[in-house]
Amino acid sequence: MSQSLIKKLRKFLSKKERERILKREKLHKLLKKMRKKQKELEQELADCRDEKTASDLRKRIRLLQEQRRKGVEVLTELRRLAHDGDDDAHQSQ
Amino acid sequence: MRFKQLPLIFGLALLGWALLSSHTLTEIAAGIAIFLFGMLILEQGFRTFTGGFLERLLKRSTDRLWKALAFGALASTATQSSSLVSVITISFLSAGLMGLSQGIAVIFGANLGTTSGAWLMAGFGIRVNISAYAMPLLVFGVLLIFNRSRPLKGAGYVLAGIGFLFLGIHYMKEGFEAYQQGIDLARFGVDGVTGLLLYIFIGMAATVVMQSSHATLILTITALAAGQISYENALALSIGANVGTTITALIGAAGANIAGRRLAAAHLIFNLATGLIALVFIQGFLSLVDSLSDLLGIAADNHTLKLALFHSLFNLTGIVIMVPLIDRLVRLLETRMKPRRITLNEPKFIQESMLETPGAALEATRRELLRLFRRAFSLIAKVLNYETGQLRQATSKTDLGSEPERIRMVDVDELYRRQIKPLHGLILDYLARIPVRGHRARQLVLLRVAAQDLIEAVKDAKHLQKNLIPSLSASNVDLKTEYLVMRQNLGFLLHQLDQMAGRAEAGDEKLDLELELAELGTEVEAGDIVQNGRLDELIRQRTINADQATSLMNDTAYSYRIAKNLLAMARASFLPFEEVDAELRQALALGPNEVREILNEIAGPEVSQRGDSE
Repeated sequence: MSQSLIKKLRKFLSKKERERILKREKLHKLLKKMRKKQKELEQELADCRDEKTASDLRKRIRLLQEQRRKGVEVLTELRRLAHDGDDDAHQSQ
Repeated sequence: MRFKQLPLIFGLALLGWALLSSHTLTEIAAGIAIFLFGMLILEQGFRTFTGGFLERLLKRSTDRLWKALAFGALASTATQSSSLVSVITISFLSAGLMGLSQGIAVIFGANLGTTSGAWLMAGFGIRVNISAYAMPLLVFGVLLIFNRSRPLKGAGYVLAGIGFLFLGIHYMKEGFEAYQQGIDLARFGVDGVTGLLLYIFIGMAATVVMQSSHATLILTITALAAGQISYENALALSIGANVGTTITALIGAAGANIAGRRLAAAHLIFNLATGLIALVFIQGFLSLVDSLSDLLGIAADNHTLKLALFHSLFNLTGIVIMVPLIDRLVRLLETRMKPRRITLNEPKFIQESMLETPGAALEATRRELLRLFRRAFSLIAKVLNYETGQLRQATSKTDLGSEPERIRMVDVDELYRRQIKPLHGLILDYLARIPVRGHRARQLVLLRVAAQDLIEAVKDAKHLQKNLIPSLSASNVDLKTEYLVMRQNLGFLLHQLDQMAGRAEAGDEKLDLELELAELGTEVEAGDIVQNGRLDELIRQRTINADQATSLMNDTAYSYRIAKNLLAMARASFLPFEEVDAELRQALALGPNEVREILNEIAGPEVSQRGDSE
């Protein structure tokens, strides 16, 4: 219990860790926002009858997908770093 | 010129004579001088932390009125310097990081916070042998000042500043105590309304001369504690100090921009109003002070603490009365105080005084860069033979596809020299002088690169114009069409970037900068006729000759570069800098190859879909 508290405190005091947490939280929110937008665009595409608009929508959806893919990669990396940080802490004990 | 300095020389000579003739006066004057020096050092120490903690706190604490008030009160209590709080507030206001009403609330709060000095002095400074604390503080302070680490150096200045403040107070106390044994200054006290007005004037004059209401109050409390002035006269002095401090703010605002001047005017109105309220209702305040003193356990004859209470009370009353009027005050200031017209080569946002608060200075530079973008927008629009209004008001890309009514060549060099270069030079010079470190250094580099991107775009527009103008009226319809499309694409990009900049400035929450820029980037890639095979097609069909193909290829490259530079500039400067956001935007940005892959991927099924339907 106390070890976990110390770990939490150390994390809280580490500037790098705080920044990483902030980045993770912001990225998580951003990805959620992007996912919502993608769903909206997909709905718009489903209702669209005009070929040119549909092509435009497909392009926008694809761009969003690609940006989200990159975002998810960054988020996974950030989570891995946080996890590895914990492991490092365990090993050094 | 020489005559102008006569009053100063006379004043200094008089002071010299007075100091030589009285050892006690020398001690008091030295006390004041050391105290003021301490305030300067303390401010210097806290300035070390600006650009970081104080700025971040100010940024977060001004979204609500009560938070802005609390920030003003707490920051001036902690730093014991309302002028430092004012300077940062003016910087933030000028950079557009906070609104006038929030700025006014911070200043109101700072007025209350500054009364804490009187409490500290009355409650602690008078009773304790303060010089005993001054010496170790000075020793530790100076030792830390020699340290290389910036925060430690800052802490050193803060400690040394407090040390000098204590030492100054000690000398003032000693001086007044010596007077006590010699002459009794209280004999010169004046009673009644005359005394009240006279001492208010003395308080104002002392504050103007010392440029610090804090110093006047400390001097008043020491004199009061030594019995050299009466309680009533001390109250009048504190009212005078409150009014006098606005003169310091007015002098400071003389060189500031409209935001600073409006804030100084608000400060003046607040302090005059509170001063007047205190003067008119002084009897009521005195009764209230007595009742509250009983409640707080302050002895009836403890005039120093009662003075501190009076000082806080009338400032608090001012806040209670003025806060509901802030919106009206803002409207009044905005209608009465108009910004003067800025000449073409003058900066609108960046100011010398902001260099002390790097966060605000960088934000102001970003806004200045947006101003430069608008100029580049007009210049490139002219090169493309669009009217600026036509480009701004376009509703769709088709609006921009028609041939220009009148084709004309623009003197890009002349326009660049007149409209772009001076402002760009100012921005670069300013950026070079902002003291930054850490993530702010990264922000500075981003802004510098963005300014360069904008210049590159203008330069490329100049090169593009050379072939664009003759080709827009060329007899070869295919060639003309290609240039018209190129013009339309660039025009629409400019239009969209302009709209986006407007939305960003208006704080549109729906603006998804990275996605929208990626969409524009895709348009740019899709419109590249070298990459999409259109140029090869034109050559194969022999609709353009080899010379025309070379020119078209070069001009496509210019157009591509203009677009890319404008997009890069937009990415770096359209939104206020947030380190994490900037990093995330960069991480999510798609490179040209990624965009091309997506385009090819989409083109594949679409071509096959078209093929199927044919």
